[in-house]
Amino acid sequence: MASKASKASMTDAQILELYRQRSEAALSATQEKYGKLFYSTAFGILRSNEDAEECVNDTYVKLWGSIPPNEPENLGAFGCRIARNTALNRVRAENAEKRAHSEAVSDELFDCIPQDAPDFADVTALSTALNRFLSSEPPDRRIIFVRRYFYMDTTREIAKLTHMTDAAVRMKLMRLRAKFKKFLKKEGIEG
Amino acid sequence: MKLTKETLNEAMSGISARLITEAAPDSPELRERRAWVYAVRAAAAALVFTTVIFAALKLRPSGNTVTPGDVPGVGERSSVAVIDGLDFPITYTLDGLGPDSDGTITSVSVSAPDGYEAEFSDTQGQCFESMLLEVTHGGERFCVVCDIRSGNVNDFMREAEYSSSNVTYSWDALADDSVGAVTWRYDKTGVTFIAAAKEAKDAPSSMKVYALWAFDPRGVGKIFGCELKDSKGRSYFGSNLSLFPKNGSFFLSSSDGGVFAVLWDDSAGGVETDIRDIYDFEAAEATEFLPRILDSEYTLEYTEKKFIVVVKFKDGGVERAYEIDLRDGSMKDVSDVNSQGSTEGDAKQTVFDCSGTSVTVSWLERDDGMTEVLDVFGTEASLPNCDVMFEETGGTVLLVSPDGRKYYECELQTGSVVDFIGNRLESLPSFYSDRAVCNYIMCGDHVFITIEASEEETSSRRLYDIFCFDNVTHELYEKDTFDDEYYIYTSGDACMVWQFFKNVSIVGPFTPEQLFETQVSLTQYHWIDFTGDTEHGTLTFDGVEKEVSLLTPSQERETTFRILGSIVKFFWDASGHVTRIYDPSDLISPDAYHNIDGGFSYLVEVGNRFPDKNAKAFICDLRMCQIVSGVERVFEGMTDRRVDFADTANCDFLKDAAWRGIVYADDDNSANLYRGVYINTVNLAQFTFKNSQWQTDDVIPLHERLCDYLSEAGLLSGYDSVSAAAEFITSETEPRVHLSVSLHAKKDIVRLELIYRLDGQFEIV
Repeated sequence: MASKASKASMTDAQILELYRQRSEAALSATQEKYGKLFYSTAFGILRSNEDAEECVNDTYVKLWGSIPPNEPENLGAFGCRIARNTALNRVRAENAEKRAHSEAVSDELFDCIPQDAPDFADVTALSTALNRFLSSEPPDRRIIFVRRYFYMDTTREIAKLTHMTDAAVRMKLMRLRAKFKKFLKKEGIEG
Repeated sequence: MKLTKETLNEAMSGISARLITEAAPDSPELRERRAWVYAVRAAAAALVFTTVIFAALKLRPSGNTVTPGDVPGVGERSSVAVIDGLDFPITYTLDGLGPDSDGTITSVSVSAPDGYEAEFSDTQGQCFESMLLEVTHGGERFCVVCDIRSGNVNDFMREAEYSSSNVTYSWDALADDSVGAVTWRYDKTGVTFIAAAKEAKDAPSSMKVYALWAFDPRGVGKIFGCELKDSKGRSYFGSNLSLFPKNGSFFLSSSDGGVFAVLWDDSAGGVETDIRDIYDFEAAEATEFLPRILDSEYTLEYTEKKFIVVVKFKDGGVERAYEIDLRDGSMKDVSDVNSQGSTEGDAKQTVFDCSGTSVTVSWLERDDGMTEVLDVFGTEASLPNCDVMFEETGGTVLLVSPDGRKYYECELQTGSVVDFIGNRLESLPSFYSDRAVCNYIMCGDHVFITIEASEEETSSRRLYDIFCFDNVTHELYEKDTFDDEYYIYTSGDACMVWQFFKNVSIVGPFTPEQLFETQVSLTQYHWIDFTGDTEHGTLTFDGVEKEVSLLTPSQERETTFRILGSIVKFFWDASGHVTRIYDPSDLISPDAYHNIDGGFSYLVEVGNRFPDKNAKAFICDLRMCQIVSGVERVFEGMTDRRVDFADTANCDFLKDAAWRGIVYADDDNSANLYRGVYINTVNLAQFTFKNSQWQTDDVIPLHERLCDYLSEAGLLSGYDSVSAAAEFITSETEPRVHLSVSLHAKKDIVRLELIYRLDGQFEIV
């Protein structure tokens, strides 16, 4: 008879303590708790099992190297960011075919911002604006936005995850982008 | 710093941890959303189907001492509610004046065992078929829903949790003094429907948080959602519940398209109010339309006309007004004619004539010269069923007709309409004249059309034929038939077809690289001739057949079930063997899932409570996860240690498979022995549950035993074949199987009625 799946029972604080102690158990605990999340983050961008797995391994290495000194409050989100950036860097180095998906998604969001947009202070300012914008949206909409532009899911994947129709997801994304554009204008980013 | 795609991506990486974790696949928010969707769909289905199903099954509810219909007229009756394994005797009075022969309940009282206090919630002197029963025990106060006549209790609210934003509330967190503050009864179709709204007591002071439950007490309760109101009175719909405080009406909407409108009469101003009606817009024609309204700024106005409301909203800069008849969901465009033509900002409108249906598309030209569609409106009631596929930047919009047999490509600048399929369908054999087009896709110079091919409407299997038209040569390519769901994928001029079990999460969507591990660079389209085996197929590539394997047998599949409100994931391999489960709620006892048909059906026991009175068990088909919400309310535990599977017709997939089953406890309690029988269309088998394990080796093919019996009795002589239909008789003392057997000869059919007892004996009756 099959046995039940093991539970990811350690808290972030416990896992971080393992990192601080330089215990390799930190990595297995991270893998157990967040391995699937990191994988899905990487896969959303890379669209390849093999590449995503390699990216997740790179993520563990980077986590190992960055904690300490970093003390992330949310290990899952911290690792997700690393996985995402690692995947994006990897995509940039890949051939055009493999870039297609993430490029298309990036283009979609970038289209919210006119070509003649003025310079802005720094990336953090834009992140802050994104946070403000998303926080003003209802959870279901901001989840769709984040799934699309952070995790880079296809609309079909989002539809499946949220039990909406593909058309409904696309509709909501379209509206969100339009809203985001207005928001940027209001925030002075568009100029 | 110049804004580039890279910097924008970088900024996206810098969004807050909360937003990242909130959107993670297993986040509470997404789980809640999925649970909500299930609940809404299940509730809608329950409203429609429950009456028929229960009537057909002639169920005898647990704890019942008075069977509805047995004793019509006036008098005092009793029933027993079982809570925490203890009896709560109920006494009620029938006045014999109700619409049914079994009278109307006029008074009710309940007694509680030692250590418990119980009373039915205040209903201002009115009694209903199902009522909230408030129970206090050891400082804990909780509510169950109790069916007065049968004593059946539904304790879903006791364990219910709902969340709004980041805060999760449980029933305990709700203000004690507002238990059942609002309850409604809905009995239009004979299905009792109750909603209970409560205000959370530990909500932030700036908010008022309400939870609304609505449920069919004969099924498992459904949490519909909650509404938040901040101190300024603004509403947030954490779970898509929209309340319209005027005239006692509200919409329940789900952002995936399900919309319900509920009207109730609050003229009495009391806490117990009759719901006048409930409308399922999903079943009506507003599926696509109302969610879009509810998604935007809008106002709802009531009219002099009963059941007619006017929804006004702005979309694409255009003021719109629609009259909605809540009885059937039909709509009439009552927008001011002058305002229809007006635009705001850069929004433009183009009206298309799609085979006589007028469709208006609102769109704008973007700064970069591309075109963006804002929305689509129709002046015909049928339009909201249109599926709209946008080409956001191509200057065209693709519209699909409600019957799925028309695809129009509409050019926004010119208003021209291209009917893509119309004449092509005419060239198909007449068999397809009334078949729905299920998929349509352009692939280079070719148009692929997939169309229903099932000849029998009642067939549970869905078959599709696929056609390919060459737009240049007008040649019609040969067709292949596919079983169940399948998808077509294109990449440039390449086309791939993939077929898979409905709703089983395998992988996907497929890119060519994912689909073919061989990394074939597809530069031309080719047919893939799948053999019907969903795991393997043959790709004809440049005239050479290639075997393709889309999932190796060892690769894990994943099916998610919602059991008693909790998510349980089963991971399984190609043979249907469950490799592991994901059960964050610890709902399922270790090793308490058992394959019962050698295929993909599993008997799942919940909470290691099988020998208890509250035992619950489910049958889950790994390949049919679509019906999860149907499963959860099917196999309620019965008293006297019996889990009855006789009502499996409630469950779609079991119904289709002609499943019936019963598991019952042996008289010898100490032996911890249970035995059961199940039947499907091909098997009639018996199994035992002994020493906490299903003895699956004991499966006995009863159809063979039946044939042996008939043969030994000399009844088979001269007949070519035997067919049998089985029905369980759930006697209190001796569960047994009633078999209707037909013996077939060339021109002769003889029918026999037999009883099969679970001691293995047949008897002709």
